[in-house]
Amino acid sequence: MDREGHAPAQWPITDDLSMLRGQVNDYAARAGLAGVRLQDLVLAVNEAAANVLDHAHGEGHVEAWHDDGSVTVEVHDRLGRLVPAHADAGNPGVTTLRGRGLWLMRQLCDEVRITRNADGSAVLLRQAIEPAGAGRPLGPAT
Amino acid sequence: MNFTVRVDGGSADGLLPFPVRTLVLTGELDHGSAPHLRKALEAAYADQCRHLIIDVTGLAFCDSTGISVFLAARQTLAQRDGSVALAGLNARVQRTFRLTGVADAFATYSTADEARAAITPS
Repeated sequence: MDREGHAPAQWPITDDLSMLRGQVNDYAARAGLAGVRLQDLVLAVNEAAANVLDHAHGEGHVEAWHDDGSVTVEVHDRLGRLVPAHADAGNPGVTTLRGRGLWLMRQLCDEVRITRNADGSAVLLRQAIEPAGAGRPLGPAT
Repeated sequence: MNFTVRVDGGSADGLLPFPVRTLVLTGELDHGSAPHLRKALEAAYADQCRHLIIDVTGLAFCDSTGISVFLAARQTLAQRDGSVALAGLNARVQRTFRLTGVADAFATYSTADEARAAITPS
């Protein structure tokens, strides 16, 4: 695997979540994620960024980095209304129309954590590149 | 990728004695494109639609905002004794529905024709 992908990356959050999904997808794919686990991370980042658009005036950015074991993406907002306890959100059920983003993130990623400081809140999303016990992942054809 | 909604047959399309409408979605349904779908649904409701078939064969991506629009349609049409059926879910979108816990809230079919055939007068 090439080592260029070790460089961290940063993108702004805009109304164009499709562009952000493409950026995260390319970064995580270069880091070694593939298939469903790659798609899951991309969807989780999409959900966190959509929350920033809906609940934090759309002011935020996304940071990504990785090592050989995992890809980590942090979605930052500047409002800081999100607190760590929100990560424990339950499944709202089918009669509730909204508010399933954090629940979904937890189904999609190996680790979901919310941190908060003077600059705002951040959702940390981590996906292992080779999850323990999952066997050899199906990599892209060489 | 952009997002489009095509109305495939309105209440006059047919052979069925009650209002059925088919919406054909293509592209990516997300926070940015969901308003287009909401608008198409409002038009369907105004046109007395009771049974809605959403053909998602060409839908490459759907996030929780998109799912909330589908759930809202389900609630609106349930008040009319109607239904929402989804046709042609791909594996990626199906996974999103399953992980979100709403997979069982919708009748699903391989094709829109199958979904149409399954609607019976009540």
